[in-house]
Amino acid sequence: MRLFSSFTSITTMLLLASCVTINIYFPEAAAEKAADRIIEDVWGEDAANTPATPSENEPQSQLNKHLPVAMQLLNWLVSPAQAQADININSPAITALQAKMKARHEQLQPFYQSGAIGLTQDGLVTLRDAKAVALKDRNVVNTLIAEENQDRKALYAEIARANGHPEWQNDIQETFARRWISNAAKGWWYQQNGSWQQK
Amino acid sequence: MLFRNSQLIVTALFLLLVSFSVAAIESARLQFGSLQYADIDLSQLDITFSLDKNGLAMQATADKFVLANHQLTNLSLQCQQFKIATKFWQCRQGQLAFTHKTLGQQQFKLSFTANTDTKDYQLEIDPLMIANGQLQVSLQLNDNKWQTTLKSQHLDASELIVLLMQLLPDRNFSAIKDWQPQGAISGTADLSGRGAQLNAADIQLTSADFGFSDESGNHVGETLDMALAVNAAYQHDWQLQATVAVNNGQSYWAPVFLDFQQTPVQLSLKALFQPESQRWQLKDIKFQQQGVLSATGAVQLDQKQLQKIEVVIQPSPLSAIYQWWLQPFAAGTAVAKATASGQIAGKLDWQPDQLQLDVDLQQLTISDNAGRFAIDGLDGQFAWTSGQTKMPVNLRWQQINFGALPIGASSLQADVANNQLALTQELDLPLLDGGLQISDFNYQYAAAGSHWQFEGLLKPLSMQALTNALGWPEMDGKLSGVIPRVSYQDQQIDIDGALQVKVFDGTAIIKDLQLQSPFGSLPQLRANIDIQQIDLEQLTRTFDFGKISGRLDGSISDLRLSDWQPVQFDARFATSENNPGKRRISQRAVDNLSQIGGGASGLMSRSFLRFFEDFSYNKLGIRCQLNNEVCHMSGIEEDEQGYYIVKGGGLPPWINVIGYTRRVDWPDLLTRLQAVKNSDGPIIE
Repeated sequence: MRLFSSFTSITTMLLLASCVTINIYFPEAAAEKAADRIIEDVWGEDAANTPATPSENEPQSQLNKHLPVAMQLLNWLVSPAQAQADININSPAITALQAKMKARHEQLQPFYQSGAIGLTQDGLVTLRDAKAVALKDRNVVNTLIAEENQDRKALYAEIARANGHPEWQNDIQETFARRWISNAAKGWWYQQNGSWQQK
Repeated sequence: MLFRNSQLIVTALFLLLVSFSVAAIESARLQFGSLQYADIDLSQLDITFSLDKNGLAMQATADKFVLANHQLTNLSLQCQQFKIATKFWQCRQGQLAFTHKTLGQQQFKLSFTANTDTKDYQLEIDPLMIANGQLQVSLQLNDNKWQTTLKSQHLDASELIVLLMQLLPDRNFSAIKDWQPQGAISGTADLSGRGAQLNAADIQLTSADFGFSDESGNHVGETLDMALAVNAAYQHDWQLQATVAVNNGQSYWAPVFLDFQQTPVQLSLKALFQPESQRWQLKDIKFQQQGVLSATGAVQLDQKQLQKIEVVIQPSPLSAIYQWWLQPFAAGTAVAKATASGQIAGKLDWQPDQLQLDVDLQQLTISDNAGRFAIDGLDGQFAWTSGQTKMPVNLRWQQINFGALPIGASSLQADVANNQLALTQELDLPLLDGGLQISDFNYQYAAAGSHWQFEGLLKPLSMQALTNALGWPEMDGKLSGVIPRVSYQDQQIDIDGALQVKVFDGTAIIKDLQLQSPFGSLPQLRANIDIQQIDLEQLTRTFDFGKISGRLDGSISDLRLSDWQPVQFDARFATSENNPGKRRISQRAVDNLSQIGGGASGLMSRSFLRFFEDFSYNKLGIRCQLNNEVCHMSGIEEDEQGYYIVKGGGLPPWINVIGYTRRVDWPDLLTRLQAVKNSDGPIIE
């Protein structure tokens, strides 16, 4: 009995240890889901509702190959918990940012449509074609872009912080970059490998 | 090139006529199948001279006339008054018609005089139909001195460039063409020179609906109505005077947008250009933007590189300067959307890696449209320099607001040198009934990122005034603090030292304060707070929570506010171990505590307990770890299923409050706290 209990405590320790290991990895699928929820809210009907393709190559599975069998087993046991790892986006700060971006989208929408503003590959927006904007509106657009990018950066950082992993900021930004583009409406412009493409 | 060609035509015709020495007869006709002389090539030339009472008239036609690679076809020349003598001939009231592949079909009045003896030549063309408009040309040539007057009407700028590129393929017009000029140009140009050298120019042009744009569309003019006058003379150097007035249209010179209908612009300047050193000296520059800005200045360029700029701005309204000239550069900053008024005047001197700025401020008011900050009644002198000579800064203001916090009238004295501003006198900022004393303030500008720091002392200010200003429940007590260092770098303010809040007869120490992007999208504030010996009686009275007596210790660690809302902390509060005192809790407080705990109250029996007004307790405490909108609750001691929030003890009657909910939704909890605050007290049956 005593042996059993010490065995279980070792197992627990191992489980805990492997939990810690797994937690380091960024929960890609959950992040995509969270991104889609925000994007659908911000863009409303403009979001094209492209379902996220699940990432096939989780870094964890690559790591497994180099682990002892026992650890692999443990990881397997623990993986359901890992799969449930969620990206929480319910914080007043995130909600406030989301509301600001949603309100701004009304103003940005015609410029996405006209190709004046395009989506960058790092999850921001930029002035793509200045000529598509009337001179008097140029600075309105510049300000909109600056504000939108400020809010987007703040959003990525806040999601990472709110989920207790400030170091995830870049991963979150990359996830969002992909999801903004996937969700973009027909006719909008986005950057791919440095050149502009139209949806 | 054109002039030389004209000269050749004239000379060639002259030679041709002389060589045939026509006698005074009534009519003569000459026909040539082909005629070649120098680089002139004529075919099917047919000339008829006729003499009538008005004198000699000439009529000539040719199928083809080639001169210096320019081919004219269907050529026809008529001269009503033709004079010819040795080394002199003249055509008046002439008509010339021809077809040219670039100039198209042309027919215009022509007069010319040629005197090969005195080498005087005159030519008048009225008008050449080019670029959707008309061009009148008048040319006088003496030896190699020449003078020409060009009068244009509605020449289309874009067509004109295309035409010039075709006519003069060896000249480079692409620099002009890249700006895509459009619109009609009318005006007069008087030009004179010697040989290929232009010596003087007097140009007056007006344009209607003029426009230009560079490739990127970042430098654009549209529908501009402009008047341009240039007077230039060459004598070793070029001396120039120019005025431009723009009364209509718009322009965008990233990021500055100007609407000339709203604010017409006038610019005049004198310039000296030294061709050898490629030096431009612009002086007496006067820039006047109606209702916005009035400035004078000077500029020097060497080899197209800016060497010197001097600008003096006359007192001008800040609201207009902000709208047209400052706001465009402020996109994405704290002052991107603000309202400004007052007057500024100033002087700017710039040389490569040297800047000196001196600005006079008069009754400025600047307020953020989002209400984050405002400054009122700002007066004085602001200066900036990258040089070593110190320049004084003296500023006074009536009031500054940071959010709801008002800073009263005060003044700032500082010196600027080497891109650095340092206080010369302690800065006293009155804050409510206390104040913030700032010494050793130092601001260093750097292209990679500016930073500043200061030492501070927070003179005691009453919590009553502070809580009122912030719209919080009124508290008694004092806030004070010694702040050894406040520093700012990379959008982050770090506050060393501690702020001490004397409140509820206890102390709260706020330390490790850190503020990130205070004016950004999502200001972040982090701090650790230690709480000692708070009098629960005062606390519960303030928040109308019932009545609890005793002393409370606690801490709020890893506190993070995002957008001024708490999103993360680990807060623990418990009765002081080392201050037993009298510990009693009222009926109402018990009920409120139970409500906060999600209603999972540990009341032993309501029906029995309602007879008691208060109970004694041994200890009480609560812990909330907030993360992700969820508060993980625990108490002072674990129970089998729950946790003790209040543990009874002492003289009976005593009471236990046990919480069972471990995870409490934070917004729910706030709502419940709000409900407690607003409730009239519990109803116990």
